[in-house]
Amino acid sequence: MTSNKIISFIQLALLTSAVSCGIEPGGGSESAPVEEKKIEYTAIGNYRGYEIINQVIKDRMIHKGAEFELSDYLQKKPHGNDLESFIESTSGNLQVLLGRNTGNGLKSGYQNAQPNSINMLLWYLVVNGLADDVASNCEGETDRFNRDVTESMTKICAWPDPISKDDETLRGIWNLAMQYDAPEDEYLKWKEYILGADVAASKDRREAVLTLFVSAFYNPYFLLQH
Amino acid sequence: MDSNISRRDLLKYAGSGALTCLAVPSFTPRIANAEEKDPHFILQVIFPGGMDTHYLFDARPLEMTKNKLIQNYIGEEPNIWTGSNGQSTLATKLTNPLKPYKDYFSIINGVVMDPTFDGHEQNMAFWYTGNPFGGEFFMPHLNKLGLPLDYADIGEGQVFVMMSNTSKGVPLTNKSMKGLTEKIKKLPRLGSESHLFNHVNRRMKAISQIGNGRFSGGAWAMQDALQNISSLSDRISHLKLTETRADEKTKSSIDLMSELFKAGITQSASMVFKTDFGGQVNLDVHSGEDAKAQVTSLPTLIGEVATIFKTLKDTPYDAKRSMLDMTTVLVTTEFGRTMRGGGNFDESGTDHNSLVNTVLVGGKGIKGGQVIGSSDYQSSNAKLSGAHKSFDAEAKCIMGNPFDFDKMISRTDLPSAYDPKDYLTASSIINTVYKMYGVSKEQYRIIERNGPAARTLDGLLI
Repeated sequence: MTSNKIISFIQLALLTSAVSCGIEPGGGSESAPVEEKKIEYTAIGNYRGYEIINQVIKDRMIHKGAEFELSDYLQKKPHGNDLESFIESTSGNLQVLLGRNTGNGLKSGYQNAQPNSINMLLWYLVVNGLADDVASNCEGETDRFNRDVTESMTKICAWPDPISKDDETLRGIWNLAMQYDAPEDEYLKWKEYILGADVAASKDRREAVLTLFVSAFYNPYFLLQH
Repeated sequence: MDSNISRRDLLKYAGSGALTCLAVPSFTPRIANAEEKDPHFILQVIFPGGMDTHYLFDARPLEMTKNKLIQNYIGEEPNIWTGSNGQSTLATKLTNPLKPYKDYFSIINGVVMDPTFDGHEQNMAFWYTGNPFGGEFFMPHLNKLGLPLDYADIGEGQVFVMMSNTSKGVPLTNKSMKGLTEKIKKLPRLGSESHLFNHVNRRMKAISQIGNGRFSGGAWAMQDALQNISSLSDRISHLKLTETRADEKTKSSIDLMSELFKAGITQSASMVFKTDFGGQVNLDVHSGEDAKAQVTSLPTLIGEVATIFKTLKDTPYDAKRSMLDMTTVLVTTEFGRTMRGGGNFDESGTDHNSLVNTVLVGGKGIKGGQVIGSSDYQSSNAKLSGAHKSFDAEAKCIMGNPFDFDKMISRTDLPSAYDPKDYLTASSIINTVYKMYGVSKEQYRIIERNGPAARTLDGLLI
């Protein structure tokens, strides 16, 4: 065996080893693990917080004038419009854990805005509830969401039909959630995931639609200040 | 591969058993199981506003009131409270609710807060962070097991302290957790077996690697927290939470805390009462009217402390041990108060006094029943030190006595100038907690800029 062949063999062996370990040089594929460098961050970024995300969802997805509060996915809705119902619905106050401005004119601050296990779980609860509501559009419940949502959902509701997986359809869904909050590359990674074996193979429409939206919302570009 | 592997990496890789393949797309990180070792929980109880220690465990004889030195609206001679270490203090009848728990806690008198500031926020910041302008809160330093939350804030009150390491601390109430438990039971699991988890995990990780700015830092924190979500969901959905009764809020909070501790969600809790301006009870009694009201309000608050000890004692941790056996309890306020205010002595309120404080420390790891430290100005004809006079020209305050850390008793000398290493400060108490938890000495609080670490109270520890 010549020395060149030996080197090629070693290169091949290393490549095979890397592939078997799931390392893809450059980390290009969506499913490839990301090589992790130890980084000393200058600061830990905050969530955009409850008020902003609530408003973003309203602006992008909710029919004007329709009643909408993200906190409904966290806690039970008040039974009535009286003061007692209001106190009942807010006293649990889970929404303050998602990043909220609190205090008064003299002492105030943006609280609970750094990611931790509890608020990550709460955001998951929120985006899951929202995605579940959006998925209900496929069953004809459309009065809450705006025209952008209903139009984008028309094709996605055909899941697993190929039309639900074309670029135009998926981009429409991505734009509903993310608009210009994330770079194009983030969309491509998301699309790769949706068209990958795990999601695309699913025949369960509701589960697929839920996954589409949760994976878009549960992303640092959507949830964090940047 | 970066050769500089962080502790977090190491835990992850070790936890996943992926030693043969260091780039693992997903893993199930190990949340330290509270039951698997000998867990050590901690609860700090804070009464904002500045509780008057003269009405509690650092009382003064009535002769000082007759001489118009210290206002006393109880009008009764205080009793002698003798500790198991032979040291004693004067205590008023308002402390009676705590008598049944005398052996479970030690009284630390004469604790100097930050003598250069008498502001609420600066002194609370001094307690929380060791610096009157804020910094790192001590509780996250105790989370050496890497539990999902560094601490839970279970009280109804608030402190305004600038703290830089609170990302894993959250306020939780019994009610909010109860609602959450029901919701989470129905939530699709987001564990490492799920492709959704693996996708969002990869994206958070990738974004965390973009740079070292706050956005990437936030993505890192999201990814870090994500690892605990499925385990946390399981733990939350199994919490046994009771209905909160309006008249049993403190008990409910302790019940919640005990559940969070036992479930391994956190090991530290902070309970802040609403006792400053605007609260149901106002301890910041500048006016005579407010000062008089303490005679009825302080027993209520001391009763709350008694409820905390009782609930912990009555709550089993396992077949043999109660939650009090497993939990260190720290009870403090912002600072003491001056002996009198200005104007008419008979209608006197009081002002802030950061030269003294009383802290109760009990529960796990603590030798209870002791009286440690003392303050000066014990009688009308007491001589005050130069150190005291340098802060209190009008002699309206009591001040902590200098302290012999080796013998664990107060010194009787009168230092001419203030040197923090002579005194028992809040930093000594926190460093003692650090010592109990095995926190690195590099983390210990120093007594002043460029000064040594504050001495620990070794005689307080079992």
